[in-house]
Amino acid sequence: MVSIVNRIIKQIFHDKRSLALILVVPLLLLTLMYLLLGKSSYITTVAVYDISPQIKEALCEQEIVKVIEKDSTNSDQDYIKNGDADAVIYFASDGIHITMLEMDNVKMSAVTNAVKDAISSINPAGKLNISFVYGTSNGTTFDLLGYLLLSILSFFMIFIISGISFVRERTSDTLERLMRTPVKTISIVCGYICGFGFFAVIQSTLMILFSKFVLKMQFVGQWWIATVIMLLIAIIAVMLGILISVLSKSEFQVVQFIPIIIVPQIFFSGLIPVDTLPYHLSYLSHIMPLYYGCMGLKGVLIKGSNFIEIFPYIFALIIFIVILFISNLLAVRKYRTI
Amino acid sequence: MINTVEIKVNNVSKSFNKKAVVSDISLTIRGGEIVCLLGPSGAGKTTLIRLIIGALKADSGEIIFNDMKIPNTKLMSELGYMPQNDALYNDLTAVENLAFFGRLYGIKSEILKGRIDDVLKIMNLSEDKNKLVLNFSGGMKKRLSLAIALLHNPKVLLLDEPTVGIDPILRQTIWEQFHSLRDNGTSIIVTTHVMDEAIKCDRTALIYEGRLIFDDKTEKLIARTPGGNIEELFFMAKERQYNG
Repeated sequence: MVSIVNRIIKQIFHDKRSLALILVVPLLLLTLMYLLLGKSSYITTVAVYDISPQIKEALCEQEIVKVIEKDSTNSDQDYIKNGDADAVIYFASDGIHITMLEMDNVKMSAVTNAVKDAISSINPAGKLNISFVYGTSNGTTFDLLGYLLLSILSFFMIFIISGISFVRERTSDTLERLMRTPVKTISIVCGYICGFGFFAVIQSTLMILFSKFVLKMQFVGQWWIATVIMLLIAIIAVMLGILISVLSKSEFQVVQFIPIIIVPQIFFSGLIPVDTLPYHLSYLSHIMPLYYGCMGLKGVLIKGSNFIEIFPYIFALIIFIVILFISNLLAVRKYRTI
Repeated sequence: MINTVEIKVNNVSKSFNKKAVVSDISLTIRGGEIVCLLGPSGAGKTTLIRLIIGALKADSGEIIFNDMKIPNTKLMSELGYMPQNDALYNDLTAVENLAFFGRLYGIKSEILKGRIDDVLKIMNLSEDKNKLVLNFSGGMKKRLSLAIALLHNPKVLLLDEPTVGIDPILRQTIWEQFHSLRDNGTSIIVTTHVMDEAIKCDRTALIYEGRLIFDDKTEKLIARTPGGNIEELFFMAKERQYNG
């Protein structure tokens, strides 16, 4: 087993691209998502008309919007299409009318928050006071979804590299040669898990430390529990990679499995809140290891759960590991007549 | 400790998708003998080799090493196998490839280094030993693949087209090496589709469309082909098939 672990580590170190894919690319993608989903300095422009001076003044005090007077005779739609403003607001007897170009979460929440706050500053009793059990209302989308990114990235990278590496072992006939040596099937599977596990440990630790100290992601719980969960996710990714490559004849066929194996898991990872899904589709999440991984990570990073509270998720991941381990043994044994 | 290994192939057949690839072949390879499996591409040579090493299970018949029936885990460390593809890790160096397989065969680390140097020297790869296989030429890969098969001093060597793409001078030294291994009691099975290789073997088994059509000393085979052209034999076999 040690020689297989040794070999995998050497192979990855010789292949600088794979090494970068495991260690550098996740950090780059995290940074990119941080920049995309983090705090936006964009000031939304709001054009107003038919508005009481008192409300207009209150609106002007809101820092997230820039208020201008709509001074053209164009319709509201054309005015926005021209790019003169992001939103047009007017007050009528049947309420406040807001016209915007399209459903844009960032601009929409800026406008509605500004209007809401402006009105409540005039009439404090109408103020909405929203608080959350976990997290704060001023957290960014990145704070909210960062944990998903950690597990999805780690799962995806390790799956690709281990799957391709094992399918290569088959297409290049090295597996046949390996099977002619006295090495045990279980050592091959364990060797693969430990070899890629080695990189998974480095990767998860790097990603966690990077998001905590560089990107300052909201981090309520203990980072080592998060690392353990990410490691379990990576082990599942290695074994899923081996299983898929047994069913594939070429590297391309491994890639063909991504839309079937990886993409649905991302959908069910918590990106869309699972408990609001229609048609009892939420049951599907129970067969997806990434769901448990993401829920566990959410528990640690956002809810600050301790190890005991997270244990059910860890236990579920371990069950997946056991099932995959047995199927891997059976799959690899297929290449041996003994 | 096994000194020499005699391999008996008894009435072995194997088909893929109902197409017979090896039909009822019986063959004995005595200890310390080089036997050549000669036949055109697609004749079933590789399948026969894979049956002998136990990579495939025969549909019927049996293969016996001395008195042990294969597949058998104990025999694995006595077998040296070189597949037709190079079966190398491209992202490792030559030494790392050798060290990896050496350890899997359980060669002790104090001996391993010396053995690696030996086989590299035989294959004339000593200068390139720390290069990644990725940068090797086709012939160099073939030599490294052969070096791996020799590494653990196996008593039986099964080599699938071992000298294709190797230059004539080096091919000469490799064959000298095979002969000296044979003289030390190693049984060697080599597949080829060219006569030049066959004449260096003690015995030739001619395989055509999955059947064994000739199995005797190589000199006798040469005597039967007046033109020295192996293709004549295949034509003769084909004619015999049509006539009866």
